[in-house]
Amino acid sequence: MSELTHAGYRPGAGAWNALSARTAEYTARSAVILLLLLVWTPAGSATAQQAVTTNTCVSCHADLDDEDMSLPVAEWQRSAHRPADIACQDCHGGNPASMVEDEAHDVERDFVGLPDPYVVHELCGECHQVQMENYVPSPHGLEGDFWPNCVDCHENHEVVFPRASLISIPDNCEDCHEQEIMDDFIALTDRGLEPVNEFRRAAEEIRSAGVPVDLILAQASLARDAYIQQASHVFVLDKMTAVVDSLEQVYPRIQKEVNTARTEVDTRRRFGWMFIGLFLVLAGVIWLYRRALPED
Amino acid sequence: MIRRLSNALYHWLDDRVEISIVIDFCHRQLTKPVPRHLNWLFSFGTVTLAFFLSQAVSGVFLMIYYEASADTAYESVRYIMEQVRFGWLMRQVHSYGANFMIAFLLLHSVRVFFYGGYKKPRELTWLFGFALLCVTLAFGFTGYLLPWDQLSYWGTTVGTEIAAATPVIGEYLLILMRGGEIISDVTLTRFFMAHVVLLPWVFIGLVAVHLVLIRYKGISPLEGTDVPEKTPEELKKAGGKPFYPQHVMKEAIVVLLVLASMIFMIIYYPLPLHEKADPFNTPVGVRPEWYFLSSYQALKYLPKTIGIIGSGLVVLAICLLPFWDRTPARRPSRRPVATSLGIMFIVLNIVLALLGKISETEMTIMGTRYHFDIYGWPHAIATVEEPAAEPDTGDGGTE
Amino acid sequence: MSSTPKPPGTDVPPGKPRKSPGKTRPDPVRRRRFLRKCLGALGGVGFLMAVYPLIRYIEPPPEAEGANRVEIDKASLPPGTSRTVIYRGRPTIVVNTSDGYIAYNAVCPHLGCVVKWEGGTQSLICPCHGGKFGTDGSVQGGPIPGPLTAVELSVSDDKIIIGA
Repeated sequence: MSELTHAGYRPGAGAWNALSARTAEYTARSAVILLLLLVWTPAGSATAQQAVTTNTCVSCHADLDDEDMSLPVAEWQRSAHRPADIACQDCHGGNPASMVEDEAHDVERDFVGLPDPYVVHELCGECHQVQMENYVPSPHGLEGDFWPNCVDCHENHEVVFPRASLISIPDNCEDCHEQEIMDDFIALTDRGLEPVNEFRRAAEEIRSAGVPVDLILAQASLARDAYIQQASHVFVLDKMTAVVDSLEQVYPRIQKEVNTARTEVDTRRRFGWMFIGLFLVLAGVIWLYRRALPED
Repeated sequence: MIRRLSNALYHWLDDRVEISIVIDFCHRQLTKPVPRHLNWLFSFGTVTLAFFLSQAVSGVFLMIYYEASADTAYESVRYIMEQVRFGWLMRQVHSYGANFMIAFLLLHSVRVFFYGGYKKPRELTWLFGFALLCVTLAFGFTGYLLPWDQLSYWGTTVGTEIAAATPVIGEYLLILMRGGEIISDVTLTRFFMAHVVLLPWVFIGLVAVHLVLIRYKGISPLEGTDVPEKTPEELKKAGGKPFYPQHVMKEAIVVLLVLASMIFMIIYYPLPLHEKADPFNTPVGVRPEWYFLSSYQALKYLPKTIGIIGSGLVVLAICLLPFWDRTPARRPSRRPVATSLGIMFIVLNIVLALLGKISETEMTIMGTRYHFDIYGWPHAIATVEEPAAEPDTGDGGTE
Repeated sequence: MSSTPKPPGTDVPPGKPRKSPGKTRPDPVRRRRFLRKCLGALGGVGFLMAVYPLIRYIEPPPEAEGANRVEIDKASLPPGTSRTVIYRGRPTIVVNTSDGYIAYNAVCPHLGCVVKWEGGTQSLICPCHGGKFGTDGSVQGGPIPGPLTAVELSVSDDKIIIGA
């Protein structure tokens, strides 16, 4: 009976199901992805900002004269981890609530100054599990070398959102790889991720115009997750190309949704302008009429 | 043809119910001259009334699909905005209309204050107008909860919390308003009832008396209360124009322009629907709607009881304004004390509202990131630089 | 004095407006009449433009027309039983007869009651006025103007699918 009312209404449920059926293979690790998505939503970032001011690591280290000790705080302030409420203690341990130096740096509470480079991927993998699972058997993680590890490419304190330009950091790749390979790699990443970023930008713009974009965002997230889960940290070009090829089958459909939503925005604005025009003309005619009224 | 038909209908009705008496009366009232000093500012009341009608129409249509229960309210509003044809328009017209209505009602009150329109013999008109202001604010307050999203839920939570500061009966009042300790399904249905049944009828009754009083006593002159007021004939001789069509057309033009600007806002800056209300997760920086912001902010600076008694006294003073301000002058320039006090009160409210707006937010001003605390005072929290040229490869935590 | 024409607009008898043709001087009466017509026309257009979204608003929204495809588990419909589901917003009766599955729009063509399956007589019965339909939807009794409308149906391994 629920078909008759909107009590059971979920936005775009039908199309969502159809899409997830098509990309069922991508959603195997959806639980992890859900966590990732939660971290990225504005709601998550809004609630997180409060906690920052009470972190004693931040409040003490920010004012230290030694730049090696204070710069990490400034860098972290700009990072993607700050709005996600991932702070010092999540990698360095210790007690972020204590004002006493010894307590704050308590080894009993797993405080560690410099984490072991060979376990860095495990620290990051606590949240970024899929990436870790792909990275460990990849050429970069092979035989326990873990070179380069997570922070070599993504930075340690100023962790930024993943993007293609990370690959082009010359120090990190040039030592072992030829420029040609790097160019192929960058081009592939652009092919895989750039459309998704484009969809998201378009969706934000459309959303601010009042037209629902949940379906577009869900599809874009699915595609992005598929890329992150199956391509981003595999580091084998052939495997990655196959993933990107299959993603490019999905992109035209998302593009169609974007176009439909854009048309809806335009239709609404045209309709509104018709009213505005009518009101203004009507006001003008009334004004003229009023002036033409007899003087008494 | 049409003229003959309507003539026939007129005579048919007149033979039976003496409609000519009614029509003559209305015609006399409509063509009553209004004083020459009526400018565009005198149309704000009509704009407010026009918005009330628009709210009534869009509200009735929204009720077709809206379901007032904590489980379905949010979904039904979303459904209206996303599935129903022109549902987006209906919801935007209603929520923007509420803001416009309150804005123009405030402007109308300010205009009446500065032109001394509340003075003898129009004290009753002011009292009914004040009641209308209260009812309209109650409309805004109750309607704000109905979409049941995070903003409306927590905005209403902090809004009702103010009532709890009332001495002695505060806690009881709060429970009565909410129908329980927290805002729940029970609150939603009682707010809904007030919004769609109680307040509309109260408003209609009050506005009828308000309008009759205005028509009966005429528009207030600029001369002081010690000068006898002109009769309609004298007004006409002094150059007064008939209310209809001259002034009505002026008002129609203003209404149309305001409606056009509202449509512009709707299509370019539509009001969003946020996430569904979550009673266990308070978002950062909760604040009530803009028209409650100044009093909400003022209460932050004062001890709770003093604040609530103080603001209660201010409200009472505004309500009883015609009874303690009994000076005869009406022209703003002839009563400098009242005029400057009025301006100060308005400026104070705007400043408080702005402080309320920026409190509990962060903003970057000239390279420094500031956090504004609940009082609206800025605290620098970080300097924002360009991204560092040389990434730090070491780990800062080494001891 | 009496020979000078009166200024227009002061004493025009009703129903006889065209008394001053061919004047180049702007004539406030005609001007007002023209503007009044404009106002009437624009008001009419505005009224229609305002009514249009209101009418569209109360039309059934797209989603409310119901699912275009309903699936039923075969296990939930043993032989000889029936089930009524909502398909495209209308009650639709699915019966597992001895000759296979059948599906009809369950609304009786007589006065709109919903028909029931009667296993004993292998027929669909309307409870309101004694209407009776065969398994092929044809009228077998009662004051029924026409047969039941069949609904597209297909059967897969474990599901009955109503609709395309």
